[in-house]
Amino acid sequence: MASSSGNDDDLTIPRAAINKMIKETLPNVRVANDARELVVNCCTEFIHLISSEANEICNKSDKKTISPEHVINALESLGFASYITEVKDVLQECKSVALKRRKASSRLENLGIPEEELLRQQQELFAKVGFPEGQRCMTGCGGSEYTMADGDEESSIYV
Amino acid sequence: MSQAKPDKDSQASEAKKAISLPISRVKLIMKSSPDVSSINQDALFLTTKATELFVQHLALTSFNNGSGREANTLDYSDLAKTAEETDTFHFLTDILPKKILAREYLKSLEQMEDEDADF
Repeated sequence: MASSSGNDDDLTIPRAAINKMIKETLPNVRVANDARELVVNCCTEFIHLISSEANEICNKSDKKTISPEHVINALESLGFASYITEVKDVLQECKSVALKRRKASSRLENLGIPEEELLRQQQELFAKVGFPEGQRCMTGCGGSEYTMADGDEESSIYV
Repeated sequence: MSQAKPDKDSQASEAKKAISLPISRVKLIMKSSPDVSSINQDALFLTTKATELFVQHLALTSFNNGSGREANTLDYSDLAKTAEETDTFHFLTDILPKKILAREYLKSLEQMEDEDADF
């Protein structure tokens, strides 16, 4: 399927992704195979078109990296202004998803007690009840269970 | 105390709803364009989504304008026709060689051979 020459020009969007989109856009329509192949190639062409235009705009603006603004202006100047609103909305959504993910991971770190702290607390407890230092057992679920035979009583300590 | 919210799942499905084309592939294609150096991640999202909209737009327009509409089909000629007739899709005419009938091609081949034979 893929050519062994590794030619850049052979890069295309995977056929399956295109087929899925065509099916969702035109449900129940029979689409010829060569038409599907064509759409795949049109995609690549479109991406090159937008990239080149955005790149030109970028060069004119004295910036080195193509920014969202450059892409939006490219869409506008190439006659695809109708895409701009939806494209911007998706960008917002992607950003907020990424933000939520970052917030969620930092929240977890603050609520959970880091392992070093847990071990330290463990050592303290050992010292209190007379376990020799360095001995500890951790169960697989992250908690620790200790039993102490103290005369008549058997008590368990959970850390 | 425990957070039973399936954060990861809802985030993954949100992202899935937003963009269905593979962003990494789009990036590779963009970078294969001459002179393109670096692309901001957000600009990449925008381009990927724009490409999706393009596919939908092209398919719909071709179908609506094409001759296959009654038969509920979409074929090569519908797409070629749309590229010729619609301004925004005109850039596609480069990669859309007009298909000609085999016999016409053979005829033009014969003509060329005849011309060569005249030497």
